[in-house]
Amino acid sequence: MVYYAQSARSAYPGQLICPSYELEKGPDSQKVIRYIAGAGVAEQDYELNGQNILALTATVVGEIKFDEKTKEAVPSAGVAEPKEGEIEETVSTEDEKHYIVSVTDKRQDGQAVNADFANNLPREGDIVLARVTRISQQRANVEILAVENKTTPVDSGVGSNGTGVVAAGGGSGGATFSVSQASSDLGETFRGLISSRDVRATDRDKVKIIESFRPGDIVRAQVISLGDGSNYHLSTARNDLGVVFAKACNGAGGMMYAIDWQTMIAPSTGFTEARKCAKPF
Amino acid sequence: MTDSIELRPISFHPDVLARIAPDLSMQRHLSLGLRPSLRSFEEFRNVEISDGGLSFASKSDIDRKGNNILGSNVLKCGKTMVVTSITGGIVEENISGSYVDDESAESSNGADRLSRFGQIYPVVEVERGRVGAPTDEEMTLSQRLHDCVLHSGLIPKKALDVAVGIRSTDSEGSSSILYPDEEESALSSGLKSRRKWTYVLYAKIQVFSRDGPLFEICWNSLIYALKTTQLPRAFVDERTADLKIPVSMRGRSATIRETFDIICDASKFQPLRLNEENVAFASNFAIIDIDPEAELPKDGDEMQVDQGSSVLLADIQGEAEEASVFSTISVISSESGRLKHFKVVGGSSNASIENLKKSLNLARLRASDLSAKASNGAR
Amino acid sequence: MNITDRRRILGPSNAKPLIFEKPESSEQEVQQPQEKSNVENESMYIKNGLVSNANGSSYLELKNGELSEQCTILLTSVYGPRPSRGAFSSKASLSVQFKEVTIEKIPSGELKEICNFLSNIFSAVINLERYPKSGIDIFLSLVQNPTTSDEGNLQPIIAACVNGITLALADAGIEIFDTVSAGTYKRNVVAFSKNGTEVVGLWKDKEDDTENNILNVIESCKESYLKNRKVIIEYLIRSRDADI
Repeated sequence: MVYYAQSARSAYPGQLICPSYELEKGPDSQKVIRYIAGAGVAEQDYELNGQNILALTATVVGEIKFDEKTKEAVPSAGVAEPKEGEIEETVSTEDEKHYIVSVTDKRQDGQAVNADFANNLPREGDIVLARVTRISQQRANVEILAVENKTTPVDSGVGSNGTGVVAAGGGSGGATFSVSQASSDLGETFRGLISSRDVRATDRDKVKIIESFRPGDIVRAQVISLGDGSNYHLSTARNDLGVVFAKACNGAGGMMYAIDWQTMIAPSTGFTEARKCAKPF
Repeated sequence: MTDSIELRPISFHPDVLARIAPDLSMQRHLSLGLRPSLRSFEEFRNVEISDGGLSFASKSDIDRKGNNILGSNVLKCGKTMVVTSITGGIVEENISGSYVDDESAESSNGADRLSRFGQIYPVVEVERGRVGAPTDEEMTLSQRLHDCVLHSGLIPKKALDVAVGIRSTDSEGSSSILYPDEEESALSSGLKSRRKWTYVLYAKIQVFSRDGPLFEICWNSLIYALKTTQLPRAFVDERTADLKIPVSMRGRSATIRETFDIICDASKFQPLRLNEENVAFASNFAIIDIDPEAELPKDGDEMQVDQGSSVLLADIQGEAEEASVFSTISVISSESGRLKHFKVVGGSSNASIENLKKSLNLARLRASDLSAKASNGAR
Repeated sequence: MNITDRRRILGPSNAKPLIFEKPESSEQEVQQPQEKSNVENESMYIKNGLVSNANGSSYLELKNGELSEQCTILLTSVYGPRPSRGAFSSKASLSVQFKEVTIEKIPSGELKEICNFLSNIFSAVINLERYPKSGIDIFLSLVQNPTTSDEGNLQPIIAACVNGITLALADAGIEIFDTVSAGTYKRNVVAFSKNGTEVVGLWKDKEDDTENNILNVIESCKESYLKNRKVIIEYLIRSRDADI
């Protein structure tokens, strides 16, 4: 019985899924099957019947999935040095297969947004939606509100911590620095910055931040690196990246809409403002 | 592979839109005649209450060591959960007149009425995954609750007086406790007139799953908890009943009055007598202008919303509502329509007379609903 | 009270706490339910996801014996991974906070110890490498606590904390290496992982008088650990299947 062929099972954290290596005996050949830990799976030393083996275990509650991976996509470390003597003998006939094992929550499959922010922290390459908080000549500071097509963090935002302008009950928890230093200091959202060289792909040296972003704008941006301790580094140097929502007159006016890649217009007043807009299509 | 290019406008999932542009999400919902919480405009959330079995008086089995909770309430409103526990203390009132405390100072300022009412000292804690000093919200909530209880005249001062009993031990060693209001007999009334004790009530209000303005929810929970509150009978031991120790200090002689150890009876308690006609419940409302610009394109005329330019929303909930609403109304009203507290924040929207009237009406209906729950829950 | 707290409304400063008359028959009666509570009469009620503004949460109700009043209620919420400030770290940092919601009976020193103990356990259990630059905060709220202060036996509470945190982490979808749970025996708490083959935490109370053989203690704790673990896993699988 090979593990990858088993029907889908539910898993709980710590459940043994399969060993990291397996030998599949066909009628005339042998295949080495290597299992690689994907999302929700960890490789651990496990003691089973008095024997230490390297095995894959689940780390979240969900359903076990095996995905076959083509050889090229796998780091070759495991291929180069077969570990067991038994495998070495069969090297000539061996046909190695790789499977990525992951445990996912079925509830959240196929949904554009799920509540599972925990395992969807912004990573390199992700598209995020962020609000501009501060601009200077060199960069725009933003706070990341959501990772696009993934998730919104449930434990930040007005509802949970009472930041923002809230009329009823005076819930301005994080807004005043002196009183609640703890919350405003630690912050509730991941921060990022867009340096002026990453605003657009062409004429990088002539970018003026003030003509690209204003505080309060919602920007669609890509994570280029995890950055330093406090900021992710983001870029909008692509046609589909840039400002998606903006209000005229620094937030005092109405909604504005992009008419080309560097101009937005407020239909109610007819004023235009300069922005680095995302292509709306 | 075809060469056709598909043009697709950028669209966002509702959850994402609610986070990045709460006001826009709000307006889109309103244009459909709904709120982001999918309630209709004047619909309140359901409230579930129980006393949680936390207080000592709710327990049949007596293991009262360390449990000094006099009243409690667990209130669930939507997802928000509030745990209120009322504890007490005893303070000796100095009635000799030599010392003027805060309250009598207040009353001399013309606020005579207030001196007839008791207070409660609430501490609100909102669980939000942070430690440290209380936030602005927690502090203002506590202060508002304190002020509203005092000014609504909910607790008559008399209800907090301690009718002190005396435990006497006879020659065989068996002790009995006499209370002044139970036995009209030979109990020394002298003690009662010379010394006066009152209960002090503290409320600890813990909020989980904050999901909107909290004052109203906390208030309602506090009211429910006060309704369950039982005050223990208290007594002093006969042997320590009245002691005076004369001392002389730096040439001046004074009489130090022995501070009594007031002991609470673990088996006898009486309910806290509230001013029933002043029991009132709170509800909140928001007024929001409908922005025609943000409406979704309509398919036909039947989608037309027949609301005026501003609408009244009952029971604010959720991030989108809280962040995009600037005009709010908070009402504490009794079943019969007696207003105890009314707060309007004008904000940017037009708080018209009709809206105010409507909110008062709804608040009264809500209060009678909530008060019916209290009497059901009390059983 | 020498420093006035201006952030809270404290009430009159000369107020004295209520002192209840001590029931005379306390000694024996109080001891008995504790002896019984060990394994056989314990029942556990679990509900996940009650706290909506936390990433994950669990609600635990533990009944010791038949008395419904003798009930421990613990609410655990997990916040995070949230951004942490300061130097770049490739791992998440973990913090555990413990708070008594209604009556405050446990001295603060002991609370600190409990938090330390728990964060040590779960630092080893959570896959912290998965969450760079972030912090995971666990908040425990003890809503009801049947044990009394002067006895100072915290083992049932600590065990409940371990179970509660595991459930809340699973609810949050934070990666943990194993469904960790704890078992109690007399005045000891042992937290195990990997089906009882590994010990991840051991709490031994100072007042433990009888048992000196540590292996015996561990074996006895394992019994109740296996039972707890089974309940937790059953709940996780069942609640998941019900949701689909």
